[in-house]
Amino acid sequence: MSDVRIEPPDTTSLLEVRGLRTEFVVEDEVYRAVDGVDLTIGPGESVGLVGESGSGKTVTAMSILQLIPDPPGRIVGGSIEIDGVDLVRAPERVLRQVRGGRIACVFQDPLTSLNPVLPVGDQLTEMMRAHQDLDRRAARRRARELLDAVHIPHAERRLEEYPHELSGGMRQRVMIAMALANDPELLIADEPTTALDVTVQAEILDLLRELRERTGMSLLFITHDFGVVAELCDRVVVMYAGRVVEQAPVDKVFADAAHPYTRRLVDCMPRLGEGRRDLEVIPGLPPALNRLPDGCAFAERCDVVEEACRRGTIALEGYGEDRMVRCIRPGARP
Amino acid sequence: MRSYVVRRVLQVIPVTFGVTLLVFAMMLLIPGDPARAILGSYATPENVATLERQLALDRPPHIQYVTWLGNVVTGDFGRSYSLNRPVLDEILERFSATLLLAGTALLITVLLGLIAGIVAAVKQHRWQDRAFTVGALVGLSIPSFWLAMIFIVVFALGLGWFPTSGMRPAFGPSGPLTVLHHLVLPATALALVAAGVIARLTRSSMLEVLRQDYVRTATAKGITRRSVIMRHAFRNAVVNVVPVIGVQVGFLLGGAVYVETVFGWPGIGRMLVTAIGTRDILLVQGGVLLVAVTYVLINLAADLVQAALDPRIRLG
Repeated sequence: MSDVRIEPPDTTSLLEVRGLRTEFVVEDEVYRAVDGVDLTIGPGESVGLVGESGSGKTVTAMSILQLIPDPPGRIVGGSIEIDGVDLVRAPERVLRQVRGGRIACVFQDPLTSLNPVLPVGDQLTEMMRAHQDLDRRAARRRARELLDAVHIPHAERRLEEYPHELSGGMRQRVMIAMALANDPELLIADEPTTALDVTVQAEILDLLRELRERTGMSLLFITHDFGVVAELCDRVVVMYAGRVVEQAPVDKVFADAAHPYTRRLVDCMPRLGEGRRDLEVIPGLPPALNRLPDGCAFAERCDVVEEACRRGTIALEGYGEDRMVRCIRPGARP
Repeated sequence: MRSYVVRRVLQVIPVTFGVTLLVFAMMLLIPGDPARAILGSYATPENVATLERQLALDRPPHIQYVTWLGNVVTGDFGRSYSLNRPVLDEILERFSATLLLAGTALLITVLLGLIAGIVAAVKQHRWQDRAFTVGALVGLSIPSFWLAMIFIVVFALGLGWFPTSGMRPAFGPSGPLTVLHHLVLPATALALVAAGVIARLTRSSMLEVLRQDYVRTATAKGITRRSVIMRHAFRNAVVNVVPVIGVQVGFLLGGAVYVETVFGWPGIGRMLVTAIGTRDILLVQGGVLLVAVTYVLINLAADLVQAALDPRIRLG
C-alpha cells in the first residue's frame, strides 16, 4: 500500500481526474486519444461528457477504471483520484475494490457486454459476491430485488435466462441492475442508449434518472447527444480531439455556449416547437489524433477562426464564474 | 436441450450405417484373395474354391454384406481364421489396450493444448507466447511415428528411463505403475501432434474472446484477473475447441496404428496391420468398425458437451 497516497478527504469532489493523457500506439504511430483532460465529479452530481466519435470521451471514461486494453493503449500521464487514492498508480487489489464497488459501468451495447454463455443471474451474483460477503442464497435474493428495481418483470424466471433470450432494452436493464449491485458512488454510463430502439432509449433514460434520484449516486454520462444531456445532467464537459474545450452548467451551455464547437453542437440539436428548419451540420472532420495541429484543434472547422488560433497552446481558462473554456475568442459569433 | 440431444443422437444412426457399408466395401476393393492367402500359394484351385464356399465368399457381395451386418448387429463378428478365435474377443482385448494408450494421449493432448493455448494468448507477444507458438508448430509438424523412434533412441536406449516397447496388463501382477511406465513414451509421442493443434486453436480462440466487450465488463466488475480469464474468456473460448478435440480423437486412434507398431503396443492398430497382411477379412472389418463407431460416438459426445457449454447452440 506504500504507493497509495492518502490525503485528507475532499468534501467537494468524489472523483478528480487531472491532466489525464492516454495514448494508443499502432504501428509506431502515437495517437493521443486523451490529451490532458481534467474532470471533476462531485457527490451526487450528474456530469455529461459530450463529443463526436473519436473525441476521446469513451477513452477518458475507460481510463478511469483502467479498462484500456494494453497494448495498444496506455495511460501516460495524469492522475485519477477517488478519496485521495490515485487509480493510475494503485495496485491491482485496490483497483479491484473500486471497479464494480465504488465505481460501476454501463456500456454501449448490452448484447456484447454480457457474457453469452452464463445465465443473467450468475452474472449478477458474481458482481455482488466480488464485493460483499454474501452466500449464494442471499446473493440470489438480492439479484431478484435488483431486477425488480430496474422494472424487469418475472425476475425469478429471468435470472435463469441467457442474454440472447432477452430484448435489447431488457439486456441494458440487466447491465444497469448489475452496475447497481454494490451501491456504487459513481455510475459511468458510456452511450448506454445508442444501441437501442428510440422508444427503449427513453425508457432507459427514465430509469437512470429515477435510480439516481433514489440512490443519490453520481453519474458520468457519455453521449454525443445534447438532448440527453439536457434531460439528465447538471453539468456538461465538451471534448474535442482528446481535449476538454468547455465545461459549464447545462443551462448556460444551451443559453450561451462559449466555445464555437459547443455552439455548433447545440445548433445540431432539433428543438421541440421551433418549427421547420434544416438541421445544422458542422462541416469537415476532426483532426487525426496522430497529427494534431498547433493551436486550436477545431480551427479548421471554426466559423470565427482568426490567425492567432493556429499558434502555440491554447489553455482551458475560467470564463464567467462557473465555466471553463479553451478558446481565445470565447462567446464570439460569426 | 432435450430436442437437440435427440436430434443429434438420431444422426448417429445413418452415419453408423454408412460406416458399415464402407468397412464392408473396403475389403472387397483391396486386391488379394483371402482364401488363397490362407491356404498359401501352393493350394489347388479346388481347395481354394471349397474354402471360398465355406467362408461364403462365393456369394454375391450384397448377400455377404446383409449376412455380415445381421450377425454384427446380434454381436456375432465371426471367427478370425488366422487367430482361430472369435473376432469380438480379439478386438475387445486389443481395443482396451488402444483405449488406454489413446485415452492417456487424449488427456495429455487436452491438458497440454489448453494450458499452452491459454498462457500464449494471455501473454501475447511475450516470450511465453513465442515459446508455446514455436513449440506447437514443431509439435504438429513432426510425424508421430518418427517422434516415437526418437523417443526410443533418446529416452529408452540412451537414458534408459523407460522401456523400449510392450505393455503390462493394468491389473496383472506387475501393478499399475509398471503400466504407466510403459505408457509414458508411446502416449506422449502420440499426443504431441494433437496437442499442437489444440494449443494453436485455443490461443487464437482466446485472443478473439479476450477482445470482446463482456471481458471488459468482467474486468469492470472487480473480479480477479484469473476469474476474468477462466470464467469469462476461457469459458467462451473452449466452446470452439471442444468439437476439434473430438476430431483429434480420430487422429489419435489413427496415429495409434504407427505408434503401436513402433512401440510393440498390443493394440488394435497393430492388430489391424497384421490382419490386413493375412487378409483376415472378418478381423479387419470388426476392428475398423469398432474404431469408426468409437470415433462417431466421441464426436457425438463432443457436440453434446459443446451444446451444454453454449446455450445459443442448444436453444438455437
